[in-house]
Amino acid sequence: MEKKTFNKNKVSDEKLIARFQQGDVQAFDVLVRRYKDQLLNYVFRFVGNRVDAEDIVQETFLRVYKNKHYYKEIAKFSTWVYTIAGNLAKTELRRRKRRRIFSVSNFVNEERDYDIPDIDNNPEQEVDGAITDNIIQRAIDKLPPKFKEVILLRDVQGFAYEEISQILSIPLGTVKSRVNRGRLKLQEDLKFLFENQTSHNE
Amino acid sequence: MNNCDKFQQSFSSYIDGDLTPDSRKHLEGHLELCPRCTETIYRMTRLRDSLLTLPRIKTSAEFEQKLQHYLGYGNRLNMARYPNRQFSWKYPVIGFAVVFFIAGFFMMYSPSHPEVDFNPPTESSFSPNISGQSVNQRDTDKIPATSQPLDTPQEADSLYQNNDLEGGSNNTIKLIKESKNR
Repeated sequence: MEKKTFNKNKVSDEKLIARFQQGDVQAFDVLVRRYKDQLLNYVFRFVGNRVDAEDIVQETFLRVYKNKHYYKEIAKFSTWVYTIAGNLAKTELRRRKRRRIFSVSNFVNEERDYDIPDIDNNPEQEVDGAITDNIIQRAIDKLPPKFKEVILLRDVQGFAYEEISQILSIPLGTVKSRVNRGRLKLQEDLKFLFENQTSHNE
Repeated sequence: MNNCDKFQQSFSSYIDGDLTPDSRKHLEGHLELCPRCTETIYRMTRLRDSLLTLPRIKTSAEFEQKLQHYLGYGNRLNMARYPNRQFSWKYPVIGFAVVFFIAGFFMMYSPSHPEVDFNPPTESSFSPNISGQSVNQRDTDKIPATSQPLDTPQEADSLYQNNDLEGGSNNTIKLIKESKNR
């Protein structure tokens, strides 16, 4: 039997999903390998918890697998898969919000833990960098979801405005407006961080 | 809306380089005169750079294996520790059916319900043909009323031994002995 191989640079996502729709499971595996880490980073920044994020990414691929025939080639595969992941992440946030409303812990000052990235060499600079990342993540968490999703897609994932518009099914003008407002809000919340860096640099 | 608020709406486009040359020139003219807006744009640029360089995390080593397991393909040998998402009633139902069948079989042929059908000696009226009745019931109800006195208590004991009667017949022996004494 001829062994099929996929060159990452040659086969597009859309061709892979087309092959998968025709029953080629190997094509699905390639898509999983391509998107698992970038989806994880998107969802992790969205929900702020690594375990939940990995579960959501698993669920995203399960849905892609089960609903493969719903994908139409009019949209990019990345648009489709990010839409699914984003919707699942928003559902998770809504679930948490409901849980907080009925939870006693709502009345206590809740301190949340974040995954601090692995630091191999432990120099002071890297520790400072990890703390800064943590502070930025907390500020992202405080953003309303409609600003958070556009900021993550634009500034963390690096999507074009047009594709964000397709992923979220909102007009291009709304995306630009939300990105601007989200950035303004974030820089206001993180003013102390960048002011300190400014004074160090001077 | 003051002048700064109006310009703020195009800060992101300015940072991303999406402004038309005219709009860009107009905004830069304002920035030369407004240190507050200049500072805001500086912080927004730093923020965008920080977001782009946030550390990237990777999925766990068994991510793909877990996914393949949930989807029902892949290497099943290494997946014993991951619970299967699809619960099947087939095996529990078969298990219960087997257990009930075995339990029913033992209840039907249990030693606690002996099919006692012995023929006593014709001389004695003790224990006429009683089939399928428990020994203890016979002990208490039938024997004293119908039995003839036996010669010795030893005879009574031997009679019980011969008829393969088991524990719980002490009352009967006692009654037989009493009838003998009378």
